Amino acid sequence: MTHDAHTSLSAHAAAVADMSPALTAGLAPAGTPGGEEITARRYSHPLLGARPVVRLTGRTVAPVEDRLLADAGYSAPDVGEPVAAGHRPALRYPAWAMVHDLAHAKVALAAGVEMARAGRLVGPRPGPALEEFQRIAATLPDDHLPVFWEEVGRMFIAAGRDRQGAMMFGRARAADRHATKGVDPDRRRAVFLEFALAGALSAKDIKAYVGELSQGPDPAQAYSELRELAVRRTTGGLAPWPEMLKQIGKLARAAGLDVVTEHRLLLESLVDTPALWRSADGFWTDQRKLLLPAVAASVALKERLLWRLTEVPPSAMDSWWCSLLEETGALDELAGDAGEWLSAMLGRYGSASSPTVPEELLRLLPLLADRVRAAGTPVRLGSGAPEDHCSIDAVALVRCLEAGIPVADPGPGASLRNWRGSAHVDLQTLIDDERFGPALVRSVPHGGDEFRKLWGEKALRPVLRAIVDTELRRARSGGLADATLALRWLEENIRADMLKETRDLPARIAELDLVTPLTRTLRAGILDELGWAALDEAAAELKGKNFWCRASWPVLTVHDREKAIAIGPGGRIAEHRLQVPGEASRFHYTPEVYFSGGQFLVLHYVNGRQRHYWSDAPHEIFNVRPGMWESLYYEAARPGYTFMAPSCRRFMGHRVLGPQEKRVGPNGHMFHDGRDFWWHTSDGLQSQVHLVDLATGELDEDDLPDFFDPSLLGEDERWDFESSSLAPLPYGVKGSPLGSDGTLVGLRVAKDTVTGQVRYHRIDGVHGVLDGAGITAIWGLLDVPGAGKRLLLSGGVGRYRPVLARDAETGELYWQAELKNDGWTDNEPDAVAAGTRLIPPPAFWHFLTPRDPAGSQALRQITEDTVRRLLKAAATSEEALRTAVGKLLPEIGHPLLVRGVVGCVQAATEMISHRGRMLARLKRPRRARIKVSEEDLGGALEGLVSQYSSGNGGTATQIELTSAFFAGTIDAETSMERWQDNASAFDWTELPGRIGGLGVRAVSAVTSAAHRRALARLLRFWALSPLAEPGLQRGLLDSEQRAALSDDNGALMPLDITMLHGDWGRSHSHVTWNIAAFLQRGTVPRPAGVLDVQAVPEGWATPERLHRLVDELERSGPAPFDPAAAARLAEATDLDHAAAALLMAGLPHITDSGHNFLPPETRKALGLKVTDAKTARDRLLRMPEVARLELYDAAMPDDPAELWDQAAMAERLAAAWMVVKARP
Amino acid sequence: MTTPLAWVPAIRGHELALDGTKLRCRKTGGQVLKSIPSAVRRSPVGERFAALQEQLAQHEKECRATVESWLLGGLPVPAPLLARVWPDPSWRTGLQHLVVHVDGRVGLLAGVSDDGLVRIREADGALYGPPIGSPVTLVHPALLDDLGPWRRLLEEHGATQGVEQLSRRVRRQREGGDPAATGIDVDRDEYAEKFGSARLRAVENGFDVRGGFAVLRMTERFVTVEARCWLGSDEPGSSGEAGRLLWVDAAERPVPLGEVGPVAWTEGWRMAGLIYGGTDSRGAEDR
Repeated sequence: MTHDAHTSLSAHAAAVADMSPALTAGLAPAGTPGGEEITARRYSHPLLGARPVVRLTGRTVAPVEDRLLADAGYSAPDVGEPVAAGHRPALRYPAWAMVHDLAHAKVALAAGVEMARAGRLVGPRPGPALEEFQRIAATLPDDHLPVFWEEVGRMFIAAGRDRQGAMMFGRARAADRHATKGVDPDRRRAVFLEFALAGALSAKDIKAYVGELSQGPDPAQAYSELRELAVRRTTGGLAPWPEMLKQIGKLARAAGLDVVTEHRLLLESLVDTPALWRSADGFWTDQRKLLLPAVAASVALKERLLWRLTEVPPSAMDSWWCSLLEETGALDELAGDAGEWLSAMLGRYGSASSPTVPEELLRLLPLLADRVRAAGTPVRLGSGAPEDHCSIDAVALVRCLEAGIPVADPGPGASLRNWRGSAHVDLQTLIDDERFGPALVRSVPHGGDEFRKLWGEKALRPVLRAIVDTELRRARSGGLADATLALRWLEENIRADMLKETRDLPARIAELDLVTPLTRTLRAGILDELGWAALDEAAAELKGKNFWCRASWPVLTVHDREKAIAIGPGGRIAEHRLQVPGEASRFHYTPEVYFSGGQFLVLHYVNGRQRHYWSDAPHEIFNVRPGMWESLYYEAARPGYTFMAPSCRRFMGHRVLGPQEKRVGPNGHMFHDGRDFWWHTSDGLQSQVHLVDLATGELDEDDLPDFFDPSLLGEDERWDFESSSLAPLPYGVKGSPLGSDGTLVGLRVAKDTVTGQVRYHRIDGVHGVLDGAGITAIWGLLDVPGAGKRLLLSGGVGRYRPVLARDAETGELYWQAELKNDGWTDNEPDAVAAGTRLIPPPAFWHFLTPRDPAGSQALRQITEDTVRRLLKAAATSEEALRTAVGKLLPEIGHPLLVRGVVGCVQAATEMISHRGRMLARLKRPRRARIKVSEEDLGGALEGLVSQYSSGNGGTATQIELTSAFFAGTIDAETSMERWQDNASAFDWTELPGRIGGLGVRAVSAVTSAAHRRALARLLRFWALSPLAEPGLQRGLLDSEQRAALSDDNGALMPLDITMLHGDWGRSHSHVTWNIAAFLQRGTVPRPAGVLDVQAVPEGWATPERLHRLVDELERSGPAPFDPAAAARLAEATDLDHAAAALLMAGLPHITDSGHNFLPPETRKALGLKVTDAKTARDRLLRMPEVARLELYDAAMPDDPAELWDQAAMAERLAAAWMVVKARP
Repeated sequence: MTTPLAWVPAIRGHELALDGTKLRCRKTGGQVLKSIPSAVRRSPVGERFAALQEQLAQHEKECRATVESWLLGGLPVPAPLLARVWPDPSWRTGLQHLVVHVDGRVGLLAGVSDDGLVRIREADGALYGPPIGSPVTLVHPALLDDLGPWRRLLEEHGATQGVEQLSRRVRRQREGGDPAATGIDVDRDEYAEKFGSARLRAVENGFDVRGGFAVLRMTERFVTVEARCWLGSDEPGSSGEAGRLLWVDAAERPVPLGEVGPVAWTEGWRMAGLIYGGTDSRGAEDR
């Protein structure tokens, strides 16, 4: 046979295309050849009077229609002349019987009526519907059943019940077997396709179908049928089923066709269908053998595959495809477009999160190199555009270059990835490459783990050194805040191993004396040179732990939870003692107090209840709609431009509060030019300003104050209203440190949407530009008393955002201070603003005035020499520093400015001590390490040491640090340095005195190699450490009062272990919840915060025994599990066999939950059944971890070598078990 | 042409009639009641009416679906057929006032007489009667340049369309796409995605679901095109690319977007809109 099957298929497709659409639609004129006549049958019904019901019906279906309507009470129809012609639709039940079994037409029609009735139940009550269908089926001849059940299947599918639809399809196929007339292959093909496309045909159905087909008399017909199903199903949108190619091959072979050719032709006809590419990976990978020859034989297929692959996202399948392309010779189809193809393939790997380019693809590069060169189109690894921040796989790049493939220039934003630790990438060559070197430099991380690990790469050292140099420069000569950040960076990122390559580094760090940064900062100006006396006074008066500032510009309300004070630029205006709800003290809550019309609006939201009142009607408690409250509560923090209207009543939202009005609303950001008020709204990107109509309280259309005249904007500029401000100077206020023109204060900020550049303009004409690279959300330009230069202010809006003061020209950061004005949990002022207990919100900086002009003048002139002396004094004591300030800067008279200067010097001193610690750390001998990963160590200890749900990653470090601290290798400060980072989930303080017990697990044959290694290393480390010495104590302490102590007689080391999670810790939870553990060696004076102490038991372990145990383990390897020994243990105790086996094996996986908790190989090795193992585990789990370890420790033999004698071990374990059992 | 209601006595003093697919009740010879008393509803006649009502609703749904398919097919409807179905209110409400093309003219279908005399109302409001036997073609709104005058004409005559035609959402805009591409990613409503209700919405809106797609077949310039909107599949290993809209020809080959006709284009988008939501399928016209 030739390819009749395919030609008939394409002929079929062509016929479908040519088929008269009018016939298909049933709209061809009556009498059109090839069509069945259609009549418009007119029925009448006694209940409808003269109203006719007209049905368009083909001749074949007409009797069915007549019968169904007759059942509904209609008359026999007036048939009339044929009105159109159409194709006869596929025959469904019962119409099918009108054509194929007229003899049983009556039965079929009756069934049709009943089917229609039962069909109405399918959606709401599928069960009864199915029963009804079964009843109907019993009345039908066998030959009708396949068609009947198919129709029922359709009803289920139409009701969205695909699974039942598939079941009905299965019934139809089962009925096929009893049908006497044999299967009509055309109909069978059609229904298989129909149900397949409806998604109601499983791979299993298809398999049965294939089986059925293969038993048919005509193999060629069978093949063509399956092939049609395969093609139509895929073109219809369903991904091929997994076994499609295999089954096609089977039937093709049976039909005497060449399997490879058939596969090729099938794939060629499907290669453009989207569904083919949705097939599961297994469709391809499982059938590689079949695919290979088919693809190799088809040029079209190879071409399509090549390019199709460039369109799918990169996945693990890439390597599979590439090797298939290579093997099938598909690459030969690439010629001048080889470069394009590579660009497309590699371009898919261009984002920072892309996987690495698979080797199978890279291997193709040399094969294509000649063609790419010849065509002269370089491979593009990214678009090369300035805005393209692609991340190029360095290995792919290097392999291209090695293969001699021309590569297009990278864009200025391109970076490289996958360049670390690859044998292919020679970083030196890459960094020397004039095109890609800069991309590599851009890819080097600026700090963090990645940065530290790179130090070993010689080629990158100049880049890394440049990064370090930048930070050193910042620490040496930047502003104080800059220097602080740089020092912190150095502390975080410089490691002792880097010194090998940069020997001058400690010396350069030692030079960092902060003299220049502090001098420059004091000269530039500090916050405490300015102040608002009324605010200082109010802040001093409030005794609460937290306080808040609320704007009613120009009045500021300062309050804590008990008292509110309203102040204006001229001084205190009013005060009010809050009326606090009774239960408030039991809850954490945030009161809000607003000043309006001479009264305070006090808002309390405590324990889910609103209780608000006005200070002039304190007994009239009210609440507001939740939505109203939320508009206030969830509002973003504001700089404080919420005004009082001329009536001295405050805006609440964009409306002015009436007397005792029961309303709250957002504070908003407003503008005021002395006459009109504007309200700013921003909704994501949309920023709008509306004029407020004071008469109606409504917002007018968009409108701007003249200060924001749009004609002042450049082409791409927009006003940054959030940063901008405009307000009139209050009566009696002559000026503002943020600038004023005598009547107004204000700042307008314009942002260029294209370049990001920011222009700002103060109302008095002072202006400047920021390049957009750094912070652009500025809100003020501060005049410092006696200074030529101004400080650029940003931040300070929102709770934990410090205000930043920078050099307006260089951008260097002089100081940053937290405002502490918004419910801060501590209200100690920041060191660099030590004289100002409470910094006002930005809008109120206008009312700051110089505290001490002479003192300021002195600071402007301060010399490095003076600063050096101040720092020297600070190193002695605060008292000495105060004296030094008085002596060296006698001009400073205001005590708050003195405090500010002292604070700045202390901040610098603090950083110097950081520097000292860093140097000490760099020079310190390296402490001994266990050399295990946390993961392995954790796994090795699991089930033998108490484990808590919090804490992570610090067990090994804690053991190392404690050992080093007890040995005196490190000091107390170093041992506590990274307390936060070294929390341990394991309470390893259980180990001292019991650690020998780990020996059982260490030698057990079912312990994994990684865990065995971890245990061996831990035991070895322990043997060499003071932890193995007798006389240790363990205890609990209040983590808040932790301190590492040591003297000649002993040492105490606090450990970040969440002891509250254990019984011991919980018994002290009435004292505190912050319970940490500690270990103590020898005697130390009992420090504060110790909650409890226990002596560590005298255990098996001695350094010699531990060494000997590990030596023996290294020599003999694990001890094989001995079922006889386990049996002996079971016999000697009340343990069952499974529990004894688990105990002998070191309690493997004992903490894993689940029914089948043992890995199959472990369970096999121990010879346990799943349920037995589970029961045993549950029993053993009832024993606390510490008791398990103690049991093992007690069973350890004097000579560790005896551990390998499992029989003896069983005896000892039995004895130990009986001792444990005998305990109360 | 309206058919007078046929009142049938149900219980003493009450009569029932079907008005379209709505059941009405009146006191014998008196005024129509707002609701049907339960005694009337439960009477044998009432129950027969209820069954009939359900059957008629199904019939009317089928009529509308057929008329809609004619709208999408753009094929002339033989005049005798139209004349024959017209007296049935279920057909008539679907066909009446649709913009049709007949005898070289375009107008709202105003009436069809028993003998096949068609009358249309042209844009200027005047009635026109083409020669008897002229086939009538329903015009898809995407093929009308300006829907405004027709909507106004409808409004002036207080008429409504039983099949969505002038209020159908039309999408003409094609900018920005690659004409050689064979599919579009449709913006999806998060709601549809979240609740996996795409398939449900497809079925609710009367689209066929085949092979993981909602499909809609139409004929444009005598060529059959099928719009497909991917609904997602629960086949293991298949990728989730819901929201993909494509068109295939009669042999199920993808049609490049540049070759998709205006009707298929707008209908594909309408289907995606109805399935994936976010946009109202009625009313507004995107240009």
